[in-house]
Amino acid sequence: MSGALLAADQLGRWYGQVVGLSDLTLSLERGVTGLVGPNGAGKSTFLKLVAGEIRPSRGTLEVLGLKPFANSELFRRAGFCPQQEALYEDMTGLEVVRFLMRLHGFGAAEATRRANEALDRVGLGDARKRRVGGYSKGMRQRAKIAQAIAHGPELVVADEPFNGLDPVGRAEMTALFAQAGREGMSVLVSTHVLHEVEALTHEIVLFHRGRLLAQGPVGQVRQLLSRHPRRVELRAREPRRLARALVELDFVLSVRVAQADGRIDVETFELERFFEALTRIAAELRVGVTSLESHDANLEAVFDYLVA
Amino acid sequence: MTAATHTEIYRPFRGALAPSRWAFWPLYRAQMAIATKRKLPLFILFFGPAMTGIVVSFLAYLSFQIEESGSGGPLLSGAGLAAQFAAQLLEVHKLIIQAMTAARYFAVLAMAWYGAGLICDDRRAGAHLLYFSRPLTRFDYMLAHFATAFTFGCFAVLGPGLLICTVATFNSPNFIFLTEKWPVIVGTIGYSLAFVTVLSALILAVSALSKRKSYALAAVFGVFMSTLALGGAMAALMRERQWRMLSLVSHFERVADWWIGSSRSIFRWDPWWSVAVLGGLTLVSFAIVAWRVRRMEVVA
Repeated sequence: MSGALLAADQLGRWYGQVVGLSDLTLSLERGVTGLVGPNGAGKSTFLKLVAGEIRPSRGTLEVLGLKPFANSELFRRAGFCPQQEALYEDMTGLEVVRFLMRLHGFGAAEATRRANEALDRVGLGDARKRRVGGYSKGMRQRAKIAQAIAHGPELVVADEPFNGLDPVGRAEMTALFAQAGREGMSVLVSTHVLHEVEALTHEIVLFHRGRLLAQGPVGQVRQLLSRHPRRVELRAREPRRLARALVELDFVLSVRVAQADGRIDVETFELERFFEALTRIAAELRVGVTSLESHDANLEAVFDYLVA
Repeated sequence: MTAATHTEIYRPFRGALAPSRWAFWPLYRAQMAIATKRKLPLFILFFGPAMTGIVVSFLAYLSFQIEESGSGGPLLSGAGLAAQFAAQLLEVHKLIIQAMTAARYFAVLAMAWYGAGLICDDRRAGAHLLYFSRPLTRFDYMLAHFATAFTFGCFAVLGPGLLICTVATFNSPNFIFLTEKWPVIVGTIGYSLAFVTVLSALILAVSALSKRKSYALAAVFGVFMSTLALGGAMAALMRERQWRMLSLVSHFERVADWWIGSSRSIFRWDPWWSVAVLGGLTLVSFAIVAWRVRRMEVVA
């Protein structure tokens, strides 16, 4: 597994009677990967296992070819941005990151240089000498990201790093991780806000209730789920007339017309045939189709299907 | 804020960082820096020990000066001089015992204030997640926290003791305090270090078991006051002073009696019992800290 980022085999972790992660067998390549799932899905447990914070209850896990728990060699090559607050309020942003770099073993001057660079990179350059206690939630998130990337790790493990960031901040941090990924850093990011992952990467891992639901590019994951019908949303000048025609199609599973705005939701197993038929019906009946939207490859839709 | 996140270049670290035996040092320094940032508690908590050290040092200085100025009269014989020196040394010895007794209570306050939140606050904020994703072992983590509490304890107890001994040494004629009373100096240092070690371990254990600093503070004072009250009450009810062995403070006093040489008549038990109790308490406290720090991964 020399080229692999991590490999888990029947990995499990539980907290007393509570299952955090169950029977996870997974291999990830280097690059940017998004971990998606609702709260309590096991994302944080998995990330803490990857970051070497906790040890597996069963199974094996290798990250960058190393067993992660309490492994100093891995800690030098990886950075962790936890979900928790974690920062000392009485220290300045610069002091926090510099002190954490000292823990890595960097000398005072090098630690300061790296801390300054990282804070600049996350957009906290102007606030580096302010107390963390005076930081907004978004600034704290940036400071946590700074400490995770300051030592130039091969892998950054970030647990909900976009929480508390405003839209501009989210866009900036998304761009930062994406850029880092293009430059060769591997990034493992968890979130329950699905569109954030879509903006960052197409490689996703879906968790639910401590189990792996799916893994791979969003589109491919969707294709694998052929047992789920694909949804199309239509708007037309005469929705009920169009709906009557669509119900006649044998590959259409269901047609639903919304009372309020006349929106038509169609479920079908064969999307291409449906589009061909829709073009024909629209031309023949002149029902005035005004919009057509397929959420088929959208991550939100995939997630809805999976956890429904 | 100026964001410049799109133009920077990721530079992976290619060097090698040697494992350090002093990995606890940056964490210890950070803890000390945080603790000393707020000046008011620092002033309030260490005003007492500082004043104790200064006042008692001044009294020790005076006790030698007064005797020297008094020697302007008829010349004392050799035996007279020896008796005068013995009286001076005894006086300073008593001052040291008084200072150590007073400093003990200041030390409990200061150490509890600075030590009670060390582990519970880390766990509450999740700061340990940042530490344990770095080349810092659980032992280094405990050592850094222990060293922090220990340092504040030393400032409160050992500092005044050393100050008084130093003043007495340099003001005594021909350094006789050093040559004649060196066991007192050794005893003062030994007792201070033992006191601070036991208390540091106890406070860390309480912090490791507590959810918040305020709970830990209450628990530390609770341990002290409840054992003191229980020991006193039982001794009074049973008309037997040995019941004072239930009190943590009494054990410290017994060790102080033994090492520094104050002869408190109310404690008659074998001082090794007190050493065993305090040593056992320290070991149990360290075991609790180790257990709780290891369990940080479970509750993380």
